[in-house]
Amino acid sequence: MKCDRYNDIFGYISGELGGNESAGLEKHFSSCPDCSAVVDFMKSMKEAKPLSAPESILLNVMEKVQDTESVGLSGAKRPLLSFMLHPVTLPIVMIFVIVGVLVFLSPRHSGMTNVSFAIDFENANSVSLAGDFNNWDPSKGNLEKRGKIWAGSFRVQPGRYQYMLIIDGNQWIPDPNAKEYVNDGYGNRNSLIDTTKI
Amino acid sequence: MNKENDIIEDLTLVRSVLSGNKSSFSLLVQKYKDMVFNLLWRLTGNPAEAEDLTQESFLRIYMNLSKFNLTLDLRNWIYAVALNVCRSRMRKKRVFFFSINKEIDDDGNELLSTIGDDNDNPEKTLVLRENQKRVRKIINSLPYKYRAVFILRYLEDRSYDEISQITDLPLGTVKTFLFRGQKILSKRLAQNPETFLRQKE
Repeated sequence: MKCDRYNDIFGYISGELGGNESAGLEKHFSSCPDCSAVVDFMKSMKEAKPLSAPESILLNVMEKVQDTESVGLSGAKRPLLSFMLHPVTLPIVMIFVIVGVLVFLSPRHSGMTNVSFAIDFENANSVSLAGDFNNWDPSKGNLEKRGKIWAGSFRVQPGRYQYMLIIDGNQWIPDPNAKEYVNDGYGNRNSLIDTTKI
Repeated sequence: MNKENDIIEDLTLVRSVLSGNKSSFSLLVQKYKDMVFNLLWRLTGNPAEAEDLTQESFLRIYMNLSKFNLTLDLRNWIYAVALNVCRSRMRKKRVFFFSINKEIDDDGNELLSTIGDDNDNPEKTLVLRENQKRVRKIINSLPYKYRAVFILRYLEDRSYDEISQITDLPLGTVKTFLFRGQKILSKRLAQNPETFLRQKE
């Protein structure tokens, strides 16, 4: 192979190159058969329309699913997820629309349990959880933003934990959709989560 | 559907299944079966195998749903499960199953029969189908680990970070695999220009 500019082609195809670079490359393609071959290949590859999966897949999967036990925790620990969809307006300087904290429980070995939180927040630059399970250290409870949703997971022993949400590093609020609250002795409420009752 | 609503829909579906509603899982399957099937078909080059692997992937997704802990988007987690299922199958069969023998191509043609078909121009249709066959053949000639990353990047349009999460490879490794796959591809295309012809418009 005589030309070694092929790496640029892939950047070009993914749209990673700027306008000037792209134009320069396009000029190069017209005179370089090796690169032309690669460009043509990539274009053809992207032309292929996705196929529809055969309908039998759904039928076969659901047939087997019906035969198996329900997933999630079994018996007394089956999770009922706390998820409320009504928006809550808080009487603080910034107005948030909180759709709800969606809590998952996943079984882990060694008795620990995984509690996952998802909360829908407009306008926040950061959202953290601080509570008994992370020594009330917000830096150990940063949630990750995906779209409008802030999400994160914590490994805990089963039990009852007080916690609060911290918005933008300085607004501490209890979870408006928690099932239980506790006074913290300073005139505030903490939200409470009981992993055996989720 | 925009991304935020998509994520909320996914979470709602997962919640429902984990609460014991098996029928919600059928909605999840409906939503993602084309995505999984296409990934596996592109990886294996064999539609029958892809169908089988897709079913296995969804069963494994169902059985492991309680382990899904939101650190990935559901979409990326599903990609990861499908990739693992495919890789496990690959290890059992030492020779990978892409094939250019007649039976497979005939099956492939059936599925492709509506893609890009130009009913007024059967010659163009034929050329397009031939092109697609050659594209598949060339992609399938890449070593498996480079092929997976290549497909995720250029056919599924995943970002480097997403590919890293999906494949559980460090970011640097993802980029290395991409570079190596690209190099092999480019050399093959340059060495064998006649294996790839594109009808000039």
